[in-house]
Amino acid sequence: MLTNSQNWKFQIIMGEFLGRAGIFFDEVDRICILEPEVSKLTSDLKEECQIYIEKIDEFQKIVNKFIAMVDQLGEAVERKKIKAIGARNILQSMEKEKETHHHQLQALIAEKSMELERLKIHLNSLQKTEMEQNEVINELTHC
Amino acid sequence: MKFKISLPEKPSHRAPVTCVGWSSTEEVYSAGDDSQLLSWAVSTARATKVAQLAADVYPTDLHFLPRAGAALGKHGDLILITCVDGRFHIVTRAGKVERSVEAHKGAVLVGQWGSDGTGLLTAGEDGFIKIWSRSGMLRSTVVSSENSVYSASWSPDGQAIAYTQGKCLVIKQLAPNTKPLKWKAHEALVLCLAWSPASELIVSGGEDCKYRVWDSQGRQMFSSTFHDNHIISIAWSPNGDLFAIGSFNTLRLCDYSGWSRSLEKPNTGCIYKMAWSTDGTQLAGACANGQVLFAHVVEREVHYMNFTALVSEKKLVTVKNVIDETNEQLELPERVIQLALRYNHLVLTTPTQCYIYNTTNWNTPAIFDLKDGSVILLLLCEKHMLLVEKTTVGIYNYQGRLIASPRWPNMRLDHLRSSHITLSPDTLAVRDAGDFKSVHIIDLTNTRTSTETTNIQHSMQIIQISLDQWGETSSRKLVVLDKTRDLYLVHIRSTNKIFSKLGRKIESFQWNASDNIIAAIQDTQLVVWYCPTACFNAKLLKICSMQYDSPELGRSPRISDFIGNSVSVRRADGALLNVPVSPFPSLIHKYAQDNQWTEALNLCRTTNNETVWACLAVLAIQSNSDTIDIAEEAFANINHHEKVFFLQHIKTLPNKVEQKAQLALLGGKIQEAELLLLHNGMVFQAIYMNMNLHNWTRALDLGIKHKTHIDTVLYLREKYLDSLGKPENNNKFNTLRETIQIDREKVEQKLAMELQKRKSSS
Repeated sequence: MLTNSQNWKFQIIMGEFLGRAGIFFDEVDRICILEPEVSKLTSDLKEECQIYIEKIDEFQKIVNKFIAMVDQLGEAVERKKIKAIGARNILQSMEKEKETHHHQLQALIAEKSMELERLKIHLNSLQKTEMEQNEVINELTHC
Repeated sequence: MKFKISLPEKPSHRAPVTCVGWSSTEEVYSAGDDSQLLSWAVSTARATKVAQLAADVYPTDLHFLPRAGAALGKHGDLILITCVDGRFHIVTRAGKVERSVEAHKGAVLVGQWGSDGTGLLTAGEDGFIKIWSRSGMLRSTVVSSENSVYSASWSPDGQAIAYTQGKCLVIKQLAPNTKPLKWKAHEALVLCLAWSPASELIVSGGEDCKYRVWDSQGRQMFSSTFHDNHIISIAWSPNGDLFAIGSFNTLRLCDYSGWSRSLEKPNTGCIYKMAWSTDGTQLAGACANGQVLFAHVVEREVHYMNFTALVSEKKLVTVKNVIDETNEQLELPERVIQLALRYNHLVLTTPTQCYIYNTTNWNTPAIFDLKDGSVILLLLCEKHMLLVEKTTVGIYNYQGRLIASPRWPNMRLDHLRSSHITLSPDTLAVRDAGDFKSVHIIDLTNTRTSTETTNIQHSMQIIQISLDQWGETSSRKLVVLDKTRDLYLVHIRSTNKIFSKLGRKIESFQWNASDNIIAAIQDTQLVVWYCPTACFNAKLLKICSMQYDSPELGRSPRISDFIGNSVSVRRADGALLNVPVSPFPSLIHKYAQDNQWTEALNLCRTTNNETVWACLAVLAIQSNSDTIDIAEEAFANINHHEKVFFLQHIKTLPNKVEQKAQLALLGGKIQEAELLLLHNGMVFQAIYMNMNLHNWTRALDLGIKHKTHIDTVLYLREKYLDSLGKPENNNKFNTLRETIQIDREKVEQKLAMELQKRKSSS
């Protein structure tokens, strides 16, 4: 039977031997093919990766939320913008409409003033007629 | 007068409406770029779909077959629809396509039936105008030009076509070998034109934003002011007294002479096409915004003395009496089509009835039913009125009773215009529908003769006739305006109807409504002839007339009306002028008519006006009563001394008959003088009178007829010709000269004896 120290030695020798063959034991004496430090580092890395992924996920969520929010805002802005453009157009067309309306009224006024002119001429001639008739009446009453 | 516009609330077309047409006075058809054919009930402005035309049919023009006379004919209502793809379709009223014809390359822009409905014309973008039979067979290609023909129109008689060519208008006679008349009409492309169905007037409108009125010789009668947009459509009313102008958001109603009666600004977009209803009271328009516009002519006015009647709404007439400022509202069950106010009666016609109101009683009109339901013409005179419908003519009294149905040869009522027919209390005169030189006279004094006509022939084509309205039946006078614009007067009851000239260059004329006075526009001035019967003597005619020449009359005025003592003149710009006329001549007329010569004389002495004296002189020498002294005084007052001397000479004549005859001669009534002499057996005097008038043939005829003094006539004629040194060229005289021997001494003796006899009878 080997003594403890022998066992230890043996273990070391075996370890070295096995180590040269690429076989190692971890702390709980399970056979593994990676050096324990490397294995430890690997598992550490793995853990860290896990954490990183979690963090990234969280970040994505936040970003998504943000994007959605921005999108919403954009949409709202767009809506307002279109509304504003519409309003501006309406205003412009109102102006134009006002102008055409103005034109139309102007045309109607011109028409009416022509009519007025005609009536004035008629009135003038009628007044002249009246004058002449009065003259005739005077003539007849005073002779 | 203006349009009252009604627009349906929602457009029934889904695309611009391009054309409209009236199927009756109550129904409009419209077609648009959505290829739908819709029918509209005008009273409700509601549309029903007639047909969905093929999807590739984009109509450009639509025209209903005109009804010749009242009958529809066996073909029924046919609609001509022209399309963008170069075809035209003949469609029934129900919307069934009867025939489709490949007519032009490119779009067909115009399609119009001829007024008689036997043929149709199409004009297209390819510059061709073609005439087709009703069945769609090509009759002829009238025009082939390089420019697109945007508009074309038949002339009223169907003998010519007017069309647009770039900036020009062209009138092409259909008769072969006639040169087309072409003139530059607008500053830019001409887009539309229309030829009045009743006159020689053409209206055109173009891209220079103006419309212009032309006569058929291409003379410009009117040019409008600038519009805001291009003039796109024009439509004449069926009786030719109004036309409508369509443009972007614009509808204008114009008088036939061009001035604008009213302007409307409906919100319709461009008005592509317009059409009037056949009674001339309604208009339909095809609008670019998919709507169909209906317009109704309201505020038509008529005036007489102190009354004014106004169609204020479709079925409402307002009568105003300006003396006592009273208004009467006359409500009618149907819309008013025609109205006339004269001689204290207001006459209204609706589609089915005629209403006669007396100005003293507005509550109980006389009503009677119309026969055909469409009155073409309404003429009023003092005792009765004339109503011309599509197939019948009736004279009605103011109680609404038919008193005569006159007929005359060649009666074509659809061609009858108001200037070609005239009514007086006892006579009706109508110009012949085919022979423009002849006038038919119909005596209305008793019903038996109302179917007999006498005919008067003039040497020139007549454009207007008018009868005087007052005075005795036996002295009824007709005034005739001919194509050369000369005005003639003729006594229609005399045996040989001599046309005596009143004046030349007459643009328009009118008899006074109640006196025998004529007002006329001569060249540019207004002339009033107080005694038109003085026309046998130009000098006398001039003295008893009034010339009114004032710059305010403007360029081409026309007589609008002549009632009482004032002439109403319409200026070219539409303004009415009132020109007062001396009231005395009409009083003299009335005194003379009632044989109150002393009153007439007193009036003349009081006023002491040359014109009035001249009127008295003319009336006195033309009177049948004993008026020599009055005539003498009148002539003395207007310084016509030679006539005074002649009248004094007449007084010395021994024989009453001869006195009368000489007086008649002085009054220009040669025929009457001759008759007087012949009736009293004074054949020699009659012959001698004719010889003195150098009326040799008549003198010879009288001699032959009464078998006396033939040799005297021959002898004196020879003597006369010898003194002039001219040979005889009248065959009648030559042949008689050969057979009859003239004994100079014997004739001289006979002559001396006759003259001696005349003297000795004193």
